Amino acid sequence: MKNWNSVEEKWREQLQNKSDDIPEGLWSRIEEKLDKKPVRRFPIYWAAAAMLLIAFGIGWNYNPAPEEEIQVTKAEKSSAPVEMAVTEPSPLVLEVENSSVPTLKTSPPEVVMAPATNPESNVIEQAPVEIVVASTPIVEKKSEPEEVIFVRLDIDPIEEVKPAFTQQKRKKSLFGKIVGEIRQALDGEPVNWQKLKEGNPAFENNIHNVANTYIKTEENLKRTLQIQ
Amino acid sequence: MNKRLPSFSSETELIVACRNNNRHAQHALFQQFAGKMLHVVKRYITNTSEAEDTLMEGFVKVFKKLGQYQGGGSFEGWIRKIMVNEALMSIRKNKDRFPVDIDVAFDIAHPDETLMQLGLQEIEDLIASLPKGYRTIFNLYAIEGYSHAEIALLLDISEGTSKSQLSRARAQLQNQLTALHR
Repeated sequence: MKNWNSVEEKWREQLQNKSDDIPEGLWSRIEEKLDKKPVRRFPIYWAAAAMLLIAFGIGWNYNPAPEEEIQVTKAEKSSAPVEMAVTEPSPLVLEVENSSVPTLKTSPPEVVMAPATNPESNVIEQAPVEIVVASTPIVEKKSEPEEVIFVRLDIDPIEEVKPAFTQQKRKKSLFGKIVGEIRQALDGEPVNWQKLKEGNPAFENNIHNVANTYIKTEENLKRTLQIQ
Repeated sequence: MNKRLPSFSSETELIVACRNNNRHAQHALFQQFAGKMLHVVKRYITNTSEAEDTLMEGFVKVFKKLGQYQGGGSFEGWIRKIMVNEALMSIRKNKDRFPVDIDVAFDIAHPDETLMQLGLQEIEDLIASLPKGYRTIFNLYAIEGYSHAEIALLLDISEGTSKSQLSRARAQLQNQLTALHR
């Protein structure tokens, strides 16, 4: 009695060298396909994904942070002695700096004393400044009093509001531009990334963040796929 | 035009020329294997135009991947593998899912003697009459000579499913035959 294997073996032998007629025009269709240059579709989609990462990952994550800071400083400054606090400490800093420079470095107690005595002289001239001035230099005088004061002086509560909005606006329009460029790229038109970079210093910084995020995501994907 | 160009005396020479994107060599290679491969593809895909499209895609892939051919096994076998893969992909593309049942295999121990006496056309018709799932697995196992483990990998099914599908295919072939001879 025969078994299936012998039947199949016989069929295999019979079918092995069987050939069908090749339809006309098939070769020219293959030739056409071979002549076509490979379309770089995939990388463009990856680029699109990466650019979307810029917009969402960085644009939206990084935006709220400075805004909050600004709001906090605004809130602080909006309380009563705002203008005094901002305008008055400036001579004070200069005084502190001036006093620390001439004194010899071998005598730190004098430097410490200098800001302590200076506010007093200021107090005589203008009473309301006292609280603000006294609180800032005394707390941080030992480590880095200059830095702290400089930062605070740079902020003008009135002017600061505008840059915050313009910055946000610029980032949003950058997102729009990027989307536009991606669409252009998908349509097969060349993209002028240099144009995007101009006037957007953040773009250049962010592109590195995007590249890193992209690589990390890819690594994570590979890892999860391997695990599965 | 349909004759193999004399400049390619050996298969190795032809392969090297094809790798260098020599269009004549590629045409010669196509002429040499297209008929056989169309027959292979048609065993998986009964629709003629679909089978031809698959053959075309298969050859494009052959030319693109020729650099990967190590020269170890038979060249025809290598091309045949690509064609079978292409056919399976085409079946998948049409959203035809391969079977997922894991029934215990039941084989008809002794196939009918007449199965051995069948002519080529009858064999082809018989295989073509099988449902797509059975036919695919029967072709892969019985005609191409793949193992159940290889089929399981190719179709993303379990080995048990491959075995049970083969048994069912065999049973159906037997039934078809008896129905034909009645």
